[in-house]
Amino acid sequence: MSLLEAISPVLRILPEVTSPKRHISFKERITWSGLILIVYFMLSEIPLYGLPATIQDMFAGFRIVLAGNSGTLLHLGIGPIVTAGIIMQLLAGSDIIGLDLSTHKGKALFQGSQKLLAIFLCIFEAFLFAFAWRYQVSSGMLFFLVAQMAIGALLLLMADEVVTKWGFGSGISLFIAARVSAQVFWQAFSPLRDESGQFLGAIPDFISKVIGGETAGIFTRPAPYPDLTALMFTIIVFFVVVYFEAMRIEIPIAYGKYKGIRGRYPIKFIYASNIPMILTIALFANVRVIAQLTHWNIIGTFSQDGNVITGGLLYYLTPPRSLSVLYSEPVRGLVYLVVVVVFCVLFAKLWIELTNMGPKAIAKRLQGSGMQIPGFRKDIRILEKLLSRYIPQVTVMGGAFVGLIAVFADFTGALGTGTGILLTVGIIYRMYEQLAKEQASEMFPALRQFLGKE
Amino acid sequence: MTKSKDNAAGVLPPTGAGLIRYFDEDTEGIKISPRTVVISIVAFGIIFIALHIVK
Repeated sequence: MSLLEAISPVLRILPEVTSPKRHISFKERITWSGLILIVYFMLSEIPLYGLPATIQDMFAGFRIVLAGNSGTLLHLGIGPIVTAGIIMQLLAGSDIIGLDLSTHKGKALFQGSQKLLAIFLCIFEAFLFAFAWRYQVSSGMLFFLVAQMAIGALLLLMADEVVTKWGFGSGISLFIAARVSAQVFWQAFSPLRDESGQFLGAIPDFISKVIGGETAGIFTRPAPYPDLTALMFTIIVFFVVVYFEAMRIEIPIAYGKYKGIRGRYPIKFIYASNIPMILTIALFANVRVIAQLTHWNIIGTFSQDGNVITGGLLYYLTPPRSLSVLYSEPVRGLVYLVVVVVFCVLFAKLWIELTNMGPKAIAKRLQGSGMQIPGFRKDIRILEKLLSRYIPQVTVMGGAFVGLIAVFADFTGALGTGTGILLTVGIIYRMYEQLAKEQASEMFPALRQFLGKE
Repeated sequence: MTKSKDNAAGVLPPTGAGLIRYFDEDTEGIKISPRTVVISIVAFGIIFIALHIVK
């Protein structure tokens, strides 16, 4: 606590978006989310000024989680925000910083220090990326590039806060979902052709082949181009994730103080959410950064421009991105599958432990809020015993599922990448829940008190 | 939204372990309106579009 209290004077000068003082209407929330989305896309299309002609995108495999765009003002994307969030949650959950998150003061301190860390990371990561370009531009221009990237990331930090307070869901979710959706939409419908005359979109390609009277190979295309098969698998993966996202185990509970108040405590099947996949991808991205900085061939070898991985350990940490590639390189596919699933399970268990979401911690919190299992003595050990029958199993299965579905999506070449679809479906599902709740409380204002003020 | 209880009575713990962020609490930072955020992003963007055109 002492360290965090020491920085609290600094927190007082951090910029903060005003919280709405009244209920914001459905229409207003849509407007703010929409406005931020438009300016977000604008920033993500403006190139950095003074950038060297060819740059290596060290975070290529991680792009989708960053919701950024390489070489633009949003080169860093939401990287600093997500990293700060993960670090703070690990620190708070593992009790390294003794924050009591059930109090107003604790939450405010947590939120403030998370923002301070995010601001630091915006500047730090900007320097990190610019460092890789040090031989290609003058030192003056290098600092200007750092400033552009840092300011872009800082503005995104504020935009995230506007969405979270005035719009729907959180900003980072909105940005990830928007980027992935745009990519899926573009790869499915783009009517543009590249230099070799190939359609970029899967559907225009299919239509042109049908009109041209072709019958063979209308559903498939060679690797880099999206085809109808990939589009179909995208839809399958979408529905599978929606199904599992909604799956939960419901434990009956009763409120001890007033007899008769009963409810259910749901435990989500994807208990550790998609965090294990994010951490796995983040780990692989770091291996890539190491490979590119050290030039050790064992870790990874790259093509001439540095953007395609051609060999080394890293080769096995990137998925074969279509069924035909998988067929010709089954070993690589198998290694990737096993490594991803193992890491997802490990990270799921680690995340549950470190964020205090294990059976013991949950039992303590349920007990603390006055809940008990109907028909049993009010004893924390009974609660813990019951919860430990489900939580550890669900953590492992949920973690493995998240990894499996992401790998499956990657192998089938699903548009937007496996991790991308996984994140987006989760985000859209939660957004849908919030929209439905919001609309219900708009139509029946009396419901607002039941649903909790949003 | 602005009301916050210091005791956790009757509040269930979260049902899954996602990324938790608190934005409901008012901290003491310098207040910026959402309008200002949108305007500064647009201004920042326009400056760089202009820079690219001038170059």
